Amino acid sequence: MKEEDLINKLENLETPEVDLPGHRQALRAALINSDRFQRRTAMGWARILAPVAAAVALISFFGFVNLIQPELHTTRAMEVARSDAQVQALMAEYGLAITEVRLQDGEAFVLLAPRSVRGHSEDVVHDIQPTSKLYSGSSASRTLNRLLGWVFPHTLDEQRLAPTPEGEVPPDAEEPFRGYVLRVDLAEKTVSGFLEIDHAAVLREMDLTEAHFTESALPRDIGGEEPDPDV
Amino acid sequence: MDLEREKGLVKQALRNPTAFAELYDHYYPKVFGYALKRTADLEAAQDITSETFFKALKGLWRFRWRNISFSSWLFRIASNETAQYFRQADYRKSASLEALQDQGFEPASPDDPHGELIEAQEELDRHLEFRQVQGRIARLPARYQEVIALRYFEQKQIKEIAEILGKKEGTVKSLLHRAIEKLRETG
Repeated sequence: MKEEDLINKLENLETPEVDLPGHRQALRAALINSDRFQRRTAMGWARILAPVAAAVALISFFGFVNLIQPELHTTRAMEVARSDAQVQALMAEYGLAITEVRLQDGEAFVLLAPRSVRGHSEDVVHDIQPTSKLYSGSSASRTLNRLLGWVFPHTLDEQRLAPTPEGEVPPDAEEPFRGYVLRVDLAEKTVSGFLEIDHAAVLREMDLTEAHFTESALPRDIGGEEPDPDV
Repeated sequence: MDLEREKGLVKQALRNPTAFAELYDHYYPKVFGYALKRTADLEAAQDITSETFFKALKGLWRFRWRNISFSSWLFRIASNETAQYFRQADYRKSASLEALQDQGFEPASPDDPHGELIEAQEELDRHLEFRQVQGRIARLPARYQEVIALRYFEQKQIKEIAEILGKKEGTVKSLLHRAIEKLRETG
């Protein structure tokens, strides 16, 4: 068959005209009764939104507990420490700075160390640099640290410490080391204890449960008096 | 249907079942007729039509007038469904009428559905020449089948076929030319 003949045949081909009213109407009913057109009742929305709301609440709760809250507590502990008169005197007299904060059992411990002392662990040094946060080393936490650093710029240490190899000792070996661990009562917003240390240390490696904190630093050459050994 | 009215209906049909029903009433015979001429099988044509409209309802929010007309968009869905039918021997979708009836949707027609199927089959059988030609077309690759069906069974213009298939007009013309060649070879 020639091409023209075939085209002619196709153009003039009589095709069947079939209608299936049963199918047409059943399909129509199914379409207009489909879920897409159903108005949702308040209960229907509640059923859909309840699991979503629960998930959001859980994520918010754990996010707050694990990320936001420690950051806020760390920041608050540093602010409390800085505003304490004794701590200010120690910092001024011995050139101390806050180099680490540790949260433990609802309390905060703040390490005051000489500015010349560099960090003893990569995490600590890393955390000191961008923000005041010295708490954890997770990447999410570090990101949050940076954000908090922007939000609370006043918490940044004035002097940033540069990273050094692990375990470096104070450069000026002739001067005796003087540092303090401060116990901060976050609820009362007070420095509730002082622990003098005579060697460079990292808070998280210290066992603070047995440590004997005194209510006052009472340094010999700041308070003007010798500390009472019975206190 | 007036183009502006159709545009309005498409917009309303997202939320308004009556608007969707009006579009459905207008296009059901065209889509069913196309599916039947492509398959020459009543059951397959019903399944393809059902699936086409369910997919249209589901994807209506994605439809944009500036790219393609609503009619072409429906035919594109139907064409894809038909291609799937030819690819899968056990083509039967969840939206098929049987499945709908399983879910409780009964034909609203007082007519005997079996009676109308017999009548439809007889009408199909009466068109012997069509069945012969359709049988030859069905042996061609799907891309040739659809251009022949759209051009000669649905009397669509090349521009419209290009819109339905998402191809350039030149491509459609050459596809049609090759399809006729292939069809000649089968004769």
